[in-house]
Amino acid sequence: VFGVLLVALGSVWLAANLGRLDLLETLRTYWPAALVFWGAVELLAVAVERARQREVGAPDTAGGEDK
Amino acid sequence: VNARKIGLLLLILGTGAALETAWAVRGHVGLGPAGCRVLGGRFYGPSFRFDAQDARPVAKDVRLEIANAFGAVRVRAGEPGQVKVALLKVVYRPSEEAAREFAARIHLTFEEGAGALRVGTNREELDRRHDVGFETHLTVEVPADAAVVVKNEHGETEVTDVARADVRSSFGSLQVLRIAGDAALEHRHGDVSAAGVGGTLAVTSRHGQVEVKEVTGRVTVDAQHGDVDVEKTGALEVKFAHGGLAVKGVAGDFQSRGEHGGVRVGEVSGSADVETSFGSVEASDVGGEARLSARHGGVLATDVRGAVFARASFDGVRLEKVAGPAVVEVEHGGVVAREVGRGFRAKVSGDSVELDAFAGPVDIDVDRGGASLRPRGPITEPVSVKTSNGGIRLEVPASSRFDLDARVRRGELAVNVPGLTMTESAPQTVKGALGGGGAEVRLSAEGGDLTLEDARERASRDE
Repeated sequence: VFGVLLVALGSVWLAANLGRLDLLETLRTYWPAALVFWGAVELLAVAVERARQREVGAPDTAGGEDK
Repeated sequence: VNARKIGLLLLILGTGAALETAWAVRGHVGLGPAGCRVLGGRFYGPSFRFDAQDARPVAKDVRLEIANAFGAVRVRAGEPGQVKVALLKVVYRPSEEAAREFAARIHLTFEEGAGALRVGTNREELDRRHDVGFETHLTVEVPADAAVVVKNEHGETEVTDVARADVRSSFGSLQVLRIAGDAALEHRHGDVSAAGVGGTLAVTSRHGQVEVKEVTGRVTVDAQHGDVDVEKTGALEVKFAHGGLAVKGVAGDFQSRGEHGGVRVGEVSGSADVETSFGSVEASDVGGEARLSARHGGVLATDVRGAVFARASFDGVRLEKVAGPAVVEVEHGGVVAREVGRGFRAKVSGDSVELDAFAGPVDIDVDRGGASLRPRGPITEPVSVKTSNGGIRLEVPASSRFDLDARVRRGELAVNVPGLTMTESAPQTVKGALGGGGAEVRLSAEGGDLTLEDARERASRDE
């Protein structure tokens, strides 16, 4: 996740420096996408954890929270 | 949810809040007369324009006083016997209907009394009652023989083709053109330009450039925090600080007193008297005497037909083509002088003196520097040169007549002048007479060599 974040941020900044986009406008428009992306990752993690629990027959403890 | 995730969430939300705030204030940040624009001043948002006009008859010799704020004032010559005013109202309201309704309350005012006709708007009354931003731009046509007084704040001011002008304005530019008589201008926070004034001109300026051109009468300028540029005027007096001064073409005397700025002056028919600090003085083509002083700056004077009095510190003095005598004082700097016609006196510390093609008596005292002298013609007038920690070199042209007294301490003494009759000759002292004697030539070098040589020999060696 951190790597993806670095690539995204660097790409946006580079494009701004090259004059291809307005940095402030882009960041202001797309910053909520960070929440969406994070939420999606959390949901995916829960789904993967549940599937794994079902496979091993262990009680379902996944809920997106750390133990 | 652990603390790390809460921290990350807060970081994302904080970043988002910062971005939203930056987006909201983008292009609208600024503190000025119209208020704090981040929070939305009165002069912010949609605006709508409305025109109005009015006219009044005006008798001859009635002074016209025009007052305005938050808008431009343009005064120009119109028909005789009447004042015609065009008012442009710019109202900041969310809708055109609301703006129109408010604009209907803005009107021109005319008040007569005490030999004056006062022209303005009812702005003060509206400002007291309403919190609405509006601009009032006045275009006033007045008789060409009118004396005009203008007071304007926060807007451009322009006065052209009137008999006399007295202007006080701020926050905007001020331009005055073709005034038949006297003009007095007081301006803050903006540039001032005055040209074509038939009488005298007085300019007071703070925080802006000043440009003055073609003034027949005397000009006085008091300027701070801005450059001053003056061209083709009568006698000129300038007081300035924190800005440079450039002057070209003064028919009369020129005087300036300044701080923290350089001075460049040329084509002065009378005398030039210049004092400044933390900047240099350059004077050329001066008809009378030139008194030039620069603290923490150098002095350059060329083509001066009178005497030159030059004082500099932490930089040098350079003189070229001075018809009168030159008197120079320099601390922490040297002197280069060429073609000084009627004598040269200098007290210098920190660097050397080079005197070339001079005539007249010479008196030089140099501390921590040497002296080199090459006369324009035969030496027949007194020459006195004293140096400490520096040598002396004097070229002696043919037909020179003088009594010599040359001494050195901690240096070598070399005298190579054909025809010199020595009355005393020792390793550190030479006395004698040339051409039967005459004026006294006293040379004293401490901590340096002293050389007297025949000018012809030096010339042939140079060739």
